[in-house]
Amino acid sequence: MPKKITPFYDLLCYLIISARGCIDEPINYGPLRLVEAASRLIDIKEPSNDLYQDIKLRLEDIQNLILSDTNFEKELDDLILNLAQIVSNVEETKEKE
Amino acid sequence: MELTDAIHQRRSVRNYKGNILSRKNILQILEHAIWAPTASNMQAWKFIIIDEPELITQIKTFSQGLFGNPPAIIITCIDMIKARKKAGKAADLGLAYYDAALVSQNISLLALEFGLGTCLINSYHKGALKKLLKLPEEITPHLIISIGYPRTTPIKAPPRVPITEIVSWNIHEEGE
Repeated sequence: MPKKITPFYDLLCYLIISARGCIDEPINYGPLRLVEAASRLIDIKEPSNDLYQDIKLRLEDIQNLILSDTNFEKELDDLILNLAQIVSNVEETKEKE
Repeated sequence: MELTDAIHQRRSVRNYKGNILSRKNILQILEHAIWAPTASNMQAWKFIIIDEPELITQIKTFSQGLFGNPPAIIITCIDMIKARKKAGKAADLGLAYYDAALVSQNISLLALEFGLGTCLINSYHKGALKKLLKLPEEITPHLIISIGYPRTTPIKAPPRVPITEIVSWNIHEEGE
């Protein structure tokens, strides 16, 4: 076990504690925790990748919407569609090769 | 600062500058905050103030509601033995919670006098926190308060419902 809290250990604990917390917490806290976890995962794995850092900025915008009690479903849906498009572009590139 | 200005300017801050806080300022805030009312004057608060960066990191790991890197956090606890001595069963049934909340709101408002921002946090794992802080059984943590100099201006506060919808005079009536 790590003596010092690494970003990985921090994320691991965050996910597990959020699982426990979400049982009793307001309904929007679930999406909030997952969006935060996604943001932390980007910092761990791809801190210098522009594509992922752009995704992280959008995740932060979504968090702010959740925290200000504003509808955030559309922004999440839009992000998901963009993520699907990225995969689709990768597949198209592979087919051309 | 006028009280109404403080009430309106208070926002939940989740992004802090790294500036170290003066312990003297934090103690001044608490000295005023504890003039909050308490049930049967139980005054059963215990405040754990953390300004060691490594311990803050550890607490943050087990506090899913704690965002940003605050230079300090205040844990508002209640000594339940002291609380029950004064308030009996009622301490467990709600009075301890009210007392913790009232003093914590005072802390949030007073912090503004020093240019500080705060965030009240109830999302954390109680057991993990007690272990990290070596809290005895009877000392119950209630609210974590992150405190520091805000790095960014928090997002605009959500609007409040019209007062006519939530106020009745003398007997309950449906709002307009």
